[in-house]
Amino acid sequence: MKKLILLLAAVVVLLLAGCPAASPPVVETLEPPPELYDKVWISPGKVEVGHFYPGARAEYAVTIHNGNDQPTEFSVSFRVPGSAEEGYVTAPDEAQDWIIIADPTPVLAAKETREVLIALVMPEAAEAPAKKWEFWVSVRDASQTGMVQTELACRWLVTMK
Amino acid sequence: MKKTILAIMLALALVAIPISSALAATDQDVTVIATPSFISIANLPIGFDFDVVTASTTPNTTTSYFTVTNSSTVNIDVTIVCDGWHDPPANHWAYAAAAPDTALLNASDGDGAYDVEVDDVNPILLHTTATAGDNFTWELELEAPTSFSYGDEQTTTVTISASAS
Repeated sequence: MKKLILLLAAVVVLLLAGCPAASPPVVETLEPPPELYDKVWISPGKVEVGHFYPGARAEYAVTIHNGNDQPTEFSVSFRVPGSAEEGYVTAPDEAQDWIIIADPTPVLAAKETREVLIALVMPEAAEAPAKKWEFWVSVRDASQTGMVQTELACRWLVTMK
Repeated sequence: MKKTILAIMLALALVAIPISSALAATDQDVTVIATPSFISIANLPIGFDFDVVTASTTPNTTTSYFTVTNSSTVNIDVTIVCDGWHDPPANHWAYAAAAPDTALLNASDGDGAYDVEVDDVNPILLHTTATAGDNFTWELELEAPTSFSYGDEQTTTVTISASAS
């Protein structure tokens, strides 16, 4: 009988251990090519959020690399997309309030690579703009002074439940 | 013994059922997937001076004046936007199609067509790369005002933005 009880207890423990915790982001790592060492770059280019719903939270870090030879301040911000993926609609301006950027103005040392956590937190009362919608996280080298400036954008593609 | 086994099975059922039903209502269903890729562009030169402009003309930078060095590991879309005319705070032009004290910029991606009207609010697609890491050139044209009320120098900041296609 003891053996049976122990067996059942083990089953309970295994079942509990097997229950999934909060789904972590699916992260496929890729080393940047060596030629990017001296460039400013961001990664990834796209983040896909699935089964999202009002009241939910999704997080992913955008990685920024400062290829400059001096410390550089970057500006990380929400951006309404210039063009949306086929089947997606662009996020409304108010979606800006749903985005939390852990550090909107990081200062990176020369050649430093740093992650900045982005969280999409949609209030329970909020209404999604569509079943599929898109917003961008813009990263700019804030030290640019010329008439023409560059910006790198990470696309967030959100599919609602 | 039977009672003990039944009690354990009941406990097991009570433990398992609420967990599986609760999972459907939490954020545990939310998925986040990112495909590894690197986005990187640089643009040179960083500016252009149209110098003194004549009313109702369309001076340009010359074709392929700007070069975007693209080090991205995936195909990218490049959009263009400007922030209107500023400096000085007063006496600056309005940003729209050519009219008195009103001007705008057109752009194109290396063919001199100037067929992309640069907006001062919404980024407009300028170029899509055919393969990852493709460099490309582009150019700007000014639709000068049809007349001037003042001669102050005008400036704008043009932003070109790269995102994964």
